[in-house]
Amino acid sequence: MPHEFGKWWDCLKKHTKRSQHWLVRAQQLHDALDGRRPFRYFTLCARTMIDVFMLAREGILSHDASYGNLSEVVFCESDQEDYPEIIEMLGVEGSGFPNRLEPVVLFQDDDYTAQFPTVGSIQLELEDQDLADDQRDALQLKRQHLEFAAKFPFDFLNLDFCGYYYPEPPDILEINRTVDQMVALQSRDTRDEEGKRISVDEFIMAVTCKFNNEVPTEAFNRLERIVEENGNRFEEYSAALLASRGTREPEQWKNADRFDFFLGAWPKELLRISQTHGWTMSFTDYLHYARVNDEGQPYNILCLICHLTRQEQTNTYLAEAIKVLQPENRQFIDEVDKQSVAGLALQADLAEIVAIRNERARVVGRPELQLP
Amino acid sequence: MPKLDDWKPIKLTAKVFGHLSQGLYRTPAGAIKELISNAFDADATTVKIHTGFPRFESFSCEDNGVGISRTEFKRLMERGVGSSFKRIDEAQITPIHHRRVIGRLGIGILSLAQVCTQFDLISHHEESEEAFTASIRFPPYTRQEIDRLKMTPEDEIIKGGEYRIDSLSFDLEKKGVRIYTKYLRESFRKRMGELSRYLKQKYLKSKRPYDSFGEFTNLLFDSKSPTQALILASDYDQLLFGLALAPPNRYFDSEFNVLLKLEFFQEYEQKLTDNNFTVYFDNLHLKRPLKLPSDRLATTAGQCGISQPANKSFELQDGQHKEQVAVRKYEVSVADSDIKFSAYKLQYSNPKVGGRPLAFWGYLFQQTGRLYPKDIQGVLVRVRDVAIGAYDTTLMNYPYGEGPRYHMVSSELMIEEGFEDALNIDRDSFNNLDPHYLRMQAYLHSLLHSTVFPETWTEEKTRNKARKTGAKVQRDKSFLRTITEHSKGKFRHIKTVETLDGRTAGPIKFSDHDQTILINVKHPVLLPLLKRRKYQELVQQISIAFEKALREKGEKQREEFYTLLAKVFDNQP
Repeated sequence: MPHEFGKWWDCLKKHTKRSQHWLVRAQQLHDALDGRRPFRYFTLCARTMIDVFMLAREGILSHDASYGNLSEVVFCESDQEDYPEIIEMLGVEGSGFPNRLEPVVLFQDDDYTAQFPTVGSIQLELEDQDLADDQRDALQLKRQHLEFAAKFPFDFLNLDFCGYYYPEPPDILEINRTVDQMVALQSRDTRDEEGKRISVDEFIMAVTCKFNNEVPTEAFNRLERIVEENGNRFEEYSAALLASRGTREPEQWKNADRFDFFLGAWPKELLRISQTHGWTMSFTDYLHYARVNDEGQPYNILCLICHLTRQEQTNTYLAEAIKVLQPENRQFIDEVDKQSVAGLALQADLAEIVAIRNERARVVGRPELQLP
Repeated sequence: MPKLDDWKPIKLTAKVFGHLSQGLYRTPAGAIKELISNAFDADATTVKIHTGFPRFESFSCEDNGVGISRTEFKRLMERGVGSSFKRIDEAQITPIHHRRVIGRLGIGILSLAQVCTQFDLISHHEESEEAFTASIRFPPYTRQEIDRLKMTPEDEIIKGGEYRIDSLSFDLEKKGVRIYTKYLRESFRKRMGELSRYLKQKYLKSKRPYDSFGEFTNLLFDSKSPTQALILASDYDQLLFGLALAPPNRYFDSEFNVLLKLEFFQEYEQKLTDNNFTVYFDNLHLKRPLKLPSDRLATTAGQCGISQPANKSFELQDGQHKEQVAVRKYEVSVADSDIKFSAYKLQYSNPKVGGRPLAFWGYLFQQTGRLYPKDIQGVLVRVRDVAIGAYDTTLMNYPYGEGPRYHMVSSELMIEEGFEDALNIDRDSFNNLDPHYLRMQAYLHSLLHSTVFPETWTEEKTRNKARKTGAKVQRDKSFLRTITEHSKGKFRHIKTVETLDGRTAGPIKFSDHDQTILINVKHPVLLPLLKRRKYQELVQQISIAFEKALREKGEKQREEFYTLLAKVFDNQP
């Protein structure tokens, strides 16, 4: 995980997002489960793991007395030094995948790998010592993909991407396809240790990404097309756009305020994904806050929290698309005055989670986090 | 990650390459154990190993020792790993924790060839305040390469694998050596990933990781249905057991091991504690998994009491060499049981064995009944507290037939001096012709043959005799209770005599006066029946039943006889 990402764990704006939004939604879903089975959580938590210990503290994630054995958490981590640390903090060997999320999720068969549909058949083929390196790599990735898919479904997909939703060309849709594939995998069933079927009829997905002027032009072009298509298809949407932005033209909207345009248009990607896979989505929280990087360049962090249910008859696309168009449905998280009541409360809450996290770190002999 | 240099060849001796390509270690535990030994030598206090159970798609080993310097690493890679099979300097002591060095760095690093085809090594070296990252990859060993090696002199340096290296900025908090790989050999993954015999699956129907090391040991030594041998458990369990057993770790839980009640063993345990060395494997804190006693009766260490030691001696015979050797014997009794175990404290020292000094100490535990699992039967040799291989269940090829007693012995022998030349290159097995090995073998065989097994025989015979006598007394009591129930008087004893007074025509006399039933074993009707010892008790009781019934009249006679006869047969062992 890049240093730039790991260093923001103690940002109070980020903790507002965690404690007043992620936690609230997770708690609601956990309550709805009513103890029928453990809460299943996927995260890109990095080694700080504040989100994990926050949910553990609240009893949403099951754990033992030392806040270990967090057996219902699954993560991806490509940093080979951070990976074992996260494993130890969770106290469950094999709970993670030592790779970037995107290649694991997006694996696609070619003619060669298609011959091996199961983990067992892949294993047999990999025992061939004369296998070419690229064939070996492809099979190993497929095996990882199959094993990852077998972990689904989850109650909460916390996709806290450290970069842009639309990465540099040529493949600006890599993350979008990753989210698409993960939502598709949410329709799967799995079985618990006792063989009981586990499926989800509703889940939370939180997508966090970065925005600044470096978002590729290709991404804006794509969003323009989507907005235009929406405008052509739904008069109600076009009217809402005109009323709120004074134009029906996506290009004018974009040129007037690129950030506002992005905030209004990007959620349509998630709406389309949910619709494609038979899930009904509603946006419960739409958050954004400002940051400045080490070079002094400002950027924004966006977080969209969605609630997805298996109610195929309800089409919420238009209503939700209009909802995110309205600035009042977005929440800007402003600088938190550390001396204010809210600031002190946030700091105290974070300190409590860090204390739990550090207690666990001491148990497993890993570095503690130092609160500023 | 910084840009790495170009790949450079790793230089090894043909001998090492040959061993590596054909699988230097008999088990994965043997290979991974080398990494633990390296960490111990680097004054680490903690080693953490992760295998990625149950998918085994990554492997890491991290220690917090002093690290390896870039210079030393390059020297190892470029000057020929294995080029000097010198013995470890016996006096070599680590600078911080003053430990006696146990491993060999180059071989230790390359031992991973058995587990993976490529790995990254990151070292933050405390002394030089330098850090570097290196990638090491091993070639696919082809049959042609292995065949070609047969023609190569063993000490010739050849290329085996490649490495590349680059600098990192030093971070004291990261001091030590870290090894990471995702390039695990499929053979390793296949062996580890086969979990149908995983103990947690077998007993708890779960393929999740063990919650604690205690969970593993409890399942392994489960007294209701103990695992007969680890070969019947999964390869992962075997790896876990092997790694827990090998390092200079403490023993698991005093409630598990009666030897921990002995002063000499407590001193050893304290020495292991003072090593300040902890190994974690897949989040489990490893400790030596030894349960003594470990029998089908679920006898626990807590039930055992230990006597004051008795001095014993035996003659050690090693070819023409003979010497008298002293041992101390402790009797271990079990509460509410006639079972007795034995524990021996062993000590041997000789300044010249094959021209070199040899010294070792240890213990031998003799259980009544087979030890479970099989993997703690026999003898385990430790050099500098590191296990060499596994328990030798043949007791170093003990040549005499001892029946099941073979499987009742568990012993560890700790080398204090010597033995380095007796170790093969893998440090996991022995050169069975080395004079030190032969002397230890002779010691063990002499001890077992002259002292341990004969005493066990005697103890067993005495116990069996006492059990037989005790059982007869119980049967007599039970029979007498029945007779009493059917009589007006009360009978407490059965006695055999060779004559009865003239008024008694039959062979039995019921003496109400002294509450005794007398049996005339010389009576002509009994004499032929009592010839076979095996049936004496039965004949006596049937006779009593018959004579007792004769005292009744009419139909009552028959009824009495058959009732008592039924009791006689109920009573039979």
